Amino acid sequence: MGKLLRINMTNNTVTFEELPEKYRLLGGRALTSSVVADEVPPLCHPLGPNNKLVVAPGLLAGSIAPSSGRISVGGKSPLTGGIKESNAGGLPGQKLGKLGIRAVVVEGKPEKNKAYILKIDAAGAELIPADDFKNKGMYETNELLWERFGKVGILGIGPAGEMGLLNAGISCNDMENGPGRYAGRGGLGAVMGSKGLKAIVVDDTDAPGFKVANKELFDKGRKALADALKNHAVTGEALPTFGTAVLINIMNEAGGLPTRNFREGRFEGASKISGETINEWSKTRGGKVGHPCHPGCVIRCSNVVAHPDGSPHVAPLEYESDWALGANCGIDDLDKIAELNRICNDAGIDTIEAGCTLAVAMEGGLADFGDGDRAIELLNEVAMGSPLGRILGNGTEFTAKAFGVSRVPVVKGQSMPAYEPRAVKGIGVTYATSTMGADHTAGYTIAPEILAVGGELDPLDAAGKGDLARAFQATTMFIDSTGYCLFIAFAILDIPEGFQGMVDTMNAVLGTEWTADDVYAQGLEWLKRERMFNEAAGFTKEDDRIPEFMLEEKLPPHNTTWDVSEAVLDSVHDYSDTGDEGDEVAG
Amino acid sequence: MRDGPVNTSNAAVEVHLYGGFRGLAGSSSGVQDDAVVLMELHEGATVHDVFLRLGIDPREVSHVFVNAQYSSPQREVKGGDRLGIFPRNMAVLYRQYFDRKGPDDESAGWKSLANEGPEDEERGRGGGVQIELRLFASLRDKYPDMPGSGGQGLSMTLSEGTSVARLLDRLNIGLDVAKLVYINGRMKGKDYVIVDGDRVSIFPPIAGG
Repeated sequence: MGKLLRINMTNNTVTFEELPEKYRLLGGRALTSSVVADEVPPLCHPLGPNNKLVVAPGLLAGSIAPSSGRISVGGKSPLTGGIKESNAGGLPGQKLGKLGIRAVVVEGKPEKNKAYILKIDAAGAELIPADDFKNKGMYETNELLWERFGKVGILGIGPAGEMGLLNAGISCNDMENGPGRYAGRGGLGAVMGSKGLKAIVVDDTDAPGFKVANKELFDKGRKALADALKNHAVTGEALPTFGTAVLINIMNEAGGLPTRNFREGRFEGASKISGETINEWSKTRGGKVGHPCHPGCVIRCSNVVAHPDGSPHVAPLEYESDWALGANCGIDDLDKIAELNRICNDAGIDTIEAGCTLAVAMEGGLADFGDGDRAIELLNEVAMGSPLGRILGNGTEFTAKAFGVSRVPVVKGQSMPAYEPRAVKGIGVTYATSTMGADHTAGYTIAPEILAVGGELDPLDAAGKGDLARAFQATTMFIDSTGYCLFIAFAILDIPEGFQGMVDTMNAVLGTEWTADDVYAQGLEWLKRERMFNEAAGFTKEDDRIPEFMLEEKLPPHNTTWDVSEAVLDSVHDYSDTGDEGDEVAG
Repeated sequence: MRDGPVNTSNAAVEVHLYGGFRGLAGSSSGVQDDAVVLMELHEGATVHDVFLRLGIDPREVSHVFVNAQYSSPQREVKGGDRLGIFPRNMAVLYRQYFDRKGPDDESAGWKSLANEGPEDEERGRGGGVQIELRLFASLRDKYPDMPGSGGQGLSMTLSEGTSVARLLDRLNIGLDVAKLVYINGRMKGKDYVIVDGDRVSIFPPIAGG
């Protein structure tokens, strides 16, 4: 059934346990969140000995199902104070899956200033002292680890995680050993740092390989899903050609691209930083589009952005990073955005939070909007550990407090991603009510609201958005547990055979008889566990709110404010009813 | 399943004309007769060359068949081929339901649109509506020379009452390809009637995250 690997950092012990029966059907986010809910005291300090870092590959990671190699990392978030799952691609998920390891639980806390590498392979696991890796950036860390251990999967932290900064993420290496596939959000890098763990390296040499109970059903399902992914115009054509940054222009046209710290919904420099430009550079400069983030991904939305001389600068440059470090800071120079992204990858911080932090810092007078050179200087302070760098490394809300800024685009302490709630109401409901803080991936209502995928809804209309956000959050919870990339949703929301293919592959591995309806039901069940943890950690419905300035300031070009009623927000996680929501819209 | 050549050498191309194009085959044929033109073409000639030879404005063509296959104007034509050319007012839904054979690079057509203005023949009537057009993602990639590509808004004049569907038709962008049409930041259906000052942005199916 698979193993649970428990690492105690207080007394340096490494123990393999049989995965408990109650976790048999769980992987990825469902498993990390269940372990956190079961084992972590909700009121513990996130960087103290009682918090745990839980790593779990998605259920199908390591199998040959298409685009199924995602990994989840969980714990109590130092950024939000609530439960956290952060999801990434790259190599380690599939390697853990092939080793039959369903979860790694890191607990306790070592004596101060010790650093370790956890090495996992077919023979077992061991903690290796690694004081010589301290303060190293992630690019160098990955290079040294491959030199020493071969082509292993790596989960690692940069200096930001070692310093316990709230915006520290956990890097996963890609196929070229770049550190750019981040479980970035929510400060889990600081949790890993608090455990004294610089890196987890996973070697799948001689691994037993991924076990499938019903091969016939599995093959049928994976083929149906692969067909859907190849045939859908988004997953088969747009994403491999333009990457996720294809969204820059459409969000700009829709008036929902947050610009200059969420002051406006359109950025005059959008086309200069668009996916179209990245695509063009891949032809004129070098670099690459259609780059897979892990072996076996058929969508291949990742990219490599090149310097003017054609040498690689950063991989990937995603929509979110491009927006956060670009439009949201008023920066329209893609080379500078690429450099800011590279700095984030090396220091080990989340790009969304970093971009929102820089924008708030600009609002606070540390730089002018649009000043890319100054932004680079500021961001370089983080890895140096200067007092200013530590402020910035602690994220948007912390920086806003340090510099007296009141326009602070966060929910539960986590900064908003690249969709303006005043222009796209459903995603605002997700931001407000997600267990994760402001998180677009928790319930991507953008699909029907902006992209006409899985239906068509008016983004400016608040009606029905509570039910919408709940449905997306529950379904997302399920997909986040499978190991499948969330982007399969674009295809399977439109192609029922693909949806069934996903369900079939899960049934083939788990021996379940789930149907499409169970996807929602299971997802909702697991979501409740996260919600209960947050309630026990002190969150109330008053934490499910959009920042005050968005209720008062009109966002151009639509000149709309946030007008979704509190009753709608409160309905999303009101599991006592059957899904009817108060649809009334406030003033 | 093409018919055999009517009465000519193997080197000739047989062009069947329909609707308003029938007159190009000469005035003698009655409506019940086929309107056929035979012509010899140079090596590497395309459907577009046939248009030129017959003086057909590509913008007035709805669809073309080469040997019974729905084809793009860039498809190569050689001796013995049978072409069928249908005018715009006989447009049917082929372009929505069948893949066109042949290259789909329409840039030559776009150049002519840019130079002449899309609706110049209607401009004289006055009362036109000024719009700003933008094309994105693969539309830009596929038609690099087309007006509005690259996110630089192109000012155009349309006649009053032009719908999105009519504009797309004029631009030779299939209704299915133009999955997302935003007018002034709001998604609109293909039946939306464009008004003066509209910012028209057209996207193929896209998503990200």
